[in-house]
This record gives sequence, structure tokens and C-alpha cells, in this order.
Amino acid sequence: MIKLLRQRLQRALLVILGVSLFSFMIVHLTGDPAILMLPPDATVEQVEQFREAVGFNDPLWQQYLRWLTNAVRGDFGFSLRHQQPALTLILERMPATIELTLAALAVSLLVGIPLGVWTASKRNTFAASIGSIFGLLGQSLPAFWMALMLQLFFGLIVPIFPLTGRGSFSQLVMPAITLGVYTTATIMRLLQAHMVEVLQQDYIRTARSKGLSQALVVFKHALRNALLPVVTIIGLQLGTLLGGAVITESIFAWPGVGRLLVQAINNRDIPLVQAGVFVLAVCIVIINLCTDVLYTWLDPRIRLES
Amino acid sequence: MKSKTAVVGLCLLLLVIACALLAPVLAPHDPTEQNLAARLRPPAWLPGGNSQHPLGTDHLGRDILSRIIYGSRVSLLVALIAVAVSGVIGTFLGLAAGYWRGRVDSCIMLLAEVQMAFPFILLALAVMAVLGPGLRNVIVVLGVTGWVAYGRLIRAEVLSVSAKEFVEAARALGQKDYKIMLRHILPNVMPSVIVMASLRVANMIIAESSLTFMGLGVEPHIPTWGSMLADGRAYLTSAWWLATFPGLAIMLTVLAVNLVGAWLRDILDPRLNNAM
Repeated sequence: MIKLLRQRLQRALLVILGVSLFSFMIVHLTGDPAILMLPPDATVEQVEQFREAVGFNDPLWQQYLRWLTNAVRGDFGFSLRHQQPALTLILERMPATIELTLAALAVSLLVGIPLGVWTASKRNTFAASIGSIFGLLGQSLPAFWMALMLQLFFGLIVPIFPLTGRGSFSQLVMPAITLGVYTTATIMRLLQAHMVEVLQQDYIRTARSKGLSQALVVFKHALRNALLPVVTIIGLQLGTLLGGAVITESIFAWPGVGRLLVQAINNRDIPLVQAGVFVLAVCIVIINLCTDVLYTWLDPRIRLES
Repeated sequence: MKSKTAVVGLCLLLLVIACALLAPVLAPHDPTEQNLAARLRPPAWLPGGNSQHPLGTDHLGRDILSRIIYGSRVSLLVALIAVAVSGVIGTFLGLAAGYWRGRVDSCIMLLAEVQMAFPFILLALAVMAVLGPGLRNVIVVLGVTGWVAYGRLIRAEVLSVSAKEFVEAARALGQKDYKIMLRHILPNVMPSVIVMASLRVANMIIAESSLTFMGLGVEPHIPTWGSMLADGRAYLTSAWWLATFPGLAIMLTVLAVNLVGAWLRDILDPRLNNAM
């Protein structure tokens, strides 16, 4: 178990190193980051001066090493727009993004798990078909359109929820549903598929023949086994949710990291974009690592084998 | 149940393909033709609407139905090319990783893990911001960043296929690695590639429209579903039809692709059922 943990940790560190290289390279895709960062009307002399001052004339590997050593110290440079350290800006907005992501995850679990269990236990009925269609629709809805439709119906036609902003619970509802709908559908479909499989196992037949109630068989015997793959997908989905927050936050003016980064992208605030992309990616690597460890711990087959 | 939904999906998809191919014939108006006298006309069935513009007009008086019909071209074009590009890259990297294993495998999978750590849409937005908006750049970004799903799936498949006797036999006969990979292993993993590709078309349609909606996708003068939604956002209170119909078009197309993909998966590769 400890050996396995050490291996996973080493791998995660390697991935983070790769992530840093990727985040650094994004800016150099066009060859000249100076032109990207300066206003279009900058003169040739100004561009050259800027290049020299920031160190863009150094070899690429030197620039990367400098960026990496600074990043390890938490120094991602100053945001061109806000004139504040990029990391400070990101950390300030992080709680809002975490709040939205967790709310969306809560929606997904609270709706996805019961729906998955229900459609699996009512297999081949009309109700199950409706559930399956809901799952398919949930995975086909573009989030930004869903956001606009929620704003139209529940913000304008029947004004129950505020259109934008953060602060109250009612402001959280629409963004959380928008962000969570895809994950809800994914969890529901995955759980349904595994429940159907588990419900055909011998031990379920044994449980039934012992005379256990349907609820006990479904929730105690079947669900516990079918939930295991859902745990893995939750880790992956957290990453998807963090990414999805970029669009959801922009539409609902939710003051999180996603909205900050979209604004930074539009303002060509390259240091901020670089820092944000890197920090979010590192968060996702850490989430994946935790999921991996949790999965190993939950599944006795892996735990005992190692 | 499955076959019925597949028929629905197939019909919908054929309709979208027909729209894309026959856009100049089917569209009642030029999608870029502006008519300020007829701006923000509601759909035909509402008071103030008329049959000339069945789904109404936008803030510049352009016909919504015609723009949706033409928009299907961009969505399908971008999705199909991006899927083809990422499919080719992913399949070859997956083949190499699964066949050679060891260091090659380790490097390719590390690359996949690194890329998976980035939220897809954020990575695409950041790269588009650097490269600049445009149809070609959208295809490049989606094509190059989309390979991971194929790479991982194909690698797993190749690992099991290359342990089979016929691969060993080919090796014993002294065939070159690339010949074994292309002639013996590739045909065996092809069904998985096709199923994955069909399902990925749906993701690509959503990704393209998201990028365009955020203003970093296809150029604004080309009619696309994403840009129509972005335009419609400002008129949500006064003209709901601007944002509603293009979104419906995206949803139905993605649904159709998902239904057809699920059907293909059932007939070509039932083992994938739980893997996705």
C-alpha cells in the first residue's frame, strides 16, 4: 500500500512538471509573446525594450527554468491589468469557484445517484426509459445554452432566482444546476449500467432468496458495489466541473477563477492566464491523486493485493 | 427501445447533414443578408411574425432559420475534421504505447495525463487567445487537444490484442513492427476507434460552439450556432427566440450523434458499454 502511494505521488509530481512546461509553452506558441502582451500600436523599439526587460531574448530553456523556480516560490509575476501578483488574484477568487464546484457536485450526487438506482431497479419499464432519455439529454445540453434558458425561465419569465452575482443561496441555484447537469447525467448513466450488472449477480439472488426486502437488496447489497466506479468518475468529474466553471461563471457573473481567467484571456493578461491555467491544472492533478488513493483504499481487492 | 431511439437519432442526424449539404437550396434567405426594417421579428406563430421568417429575425434583421441551416455546416465541418485529426493522432500514439510498452508507453501516457490535467475548454480558450480566433485555428486546437480519449482507449485495446497468437506468429515470421501494427493490430482495434470517433463528434460540436460563444472561435461574420447564441444573449429579455433556436439546434444535433454513437457501440463493440 505504501509503495503504491509512493508510486502515485512520484507520478503526480512528474505530471505537475509536465503541466508547468505546458503552461509555460502556451505563451510561446506564436513565437513572440512580447507582441501578445503589448498593445497593437507599440513601436518596434518598445517591443524590443520590453523583450529585453522581461527576458524574452534569453534561450527558451533558461526562461522556463526561471519561470519554474519563481512558480515554485509562488511568484507568477504581476497581472498586467490588475497590477497585483497573479497568484494573489487567483487565490482570492478560489473560494467562489470551490463553492460553485462543490454545489454542482452536490446537485449531481443528490440527483444522479437516486435516478441511477431507480432506473436500474425499474429496468424495461416506461419510467426507466424516461430516466434514460433524461440522461442522454443531460449529456447533450450545451452548458452555456442551458444557462441562458434558466436565466430566461427562472430569472425573467418567472423571476424566482437572481440572474447573476454571488452572495445568497438563491444566487447559487442556477449556476450550480447549469454546471452540474452534465455530471448528473454521467453519474446517473454510469450507476445505472453498473447497477444493472450487479443486480444480476449470484449474491443478489442469494440475498433475495433469503427473503430480504427489495430496499435492503438494492441499497445495501447492490448499491455499495455499484458505487465503486462512481467514486472514480467523481474525481474525473471534479476536474470537468472546475473546467466547466469557466463558462458558467462568465454567464452568471460569478466572481470565481473561471471568470477572472476569461477576462484575463480577453485582456491578453498573459501572466494571469499562465498562472491560472497552471494552478487549476495542479488542483486537478491533486484531485486525481486523492481519487486514486481513495479508490485503492475502498476496493479491498486492490488494497489487499498490494 | 435501443433500436427505436437509434432510428430517431439517425433521422435527426440525416436531417442535419442534409441541411449542411443543401443549405443554399433549403435556406429561405441569405444568412448574412441584413434587413433593419425587419429586425427582431418574432417567429411566425406569434403576433407580429410572418411566414417569410418562420423562426423570426435577429437584431440585424437576418433570418434565423437560414442562419441555423447554414450554421450546421460549420458545426459539422469543424467536428468532423477535428475528430479525424484527433482520431489519427490518438490512434497512432495509442498503437505505439500499447505495442512498444516500456519507455514509449510511459512517455505517451505521461503526455496524456498532463493534458488531462488541463480543463479542456480553458486550455482551448487560452490557446485560441494566443493563436487568434478563426475557423482553421479552432480545428487545429480541437484536433490536437482531443487525442487523449483515443490514445488511452486504443492503448488498452492494443495491450490485449498484441498478446494474441496471430501477433506472435507475425513477429516470429520476422515482420517489421510497423507492418504488424498497421496490418494485424489496427484492423482489430478499428471498431473501437469508430465508436469513439462517433461519440466524440458530439463533444466537438459543443466545444466549437462554446469557443465561438465566448468570442474565441470561428470568425463572427460566418453564421454559426455559437455566435448566434452569443448575439442572442443580449436580447434575452426582448427577443427570446434569438438564443433559443440555435441552442435547440445544438442540443438536437448532439443528441442525434449520441444516439447513433450508442447504437454503433452496441453493434460494433458491446464491451465498451461500461467503459464510457
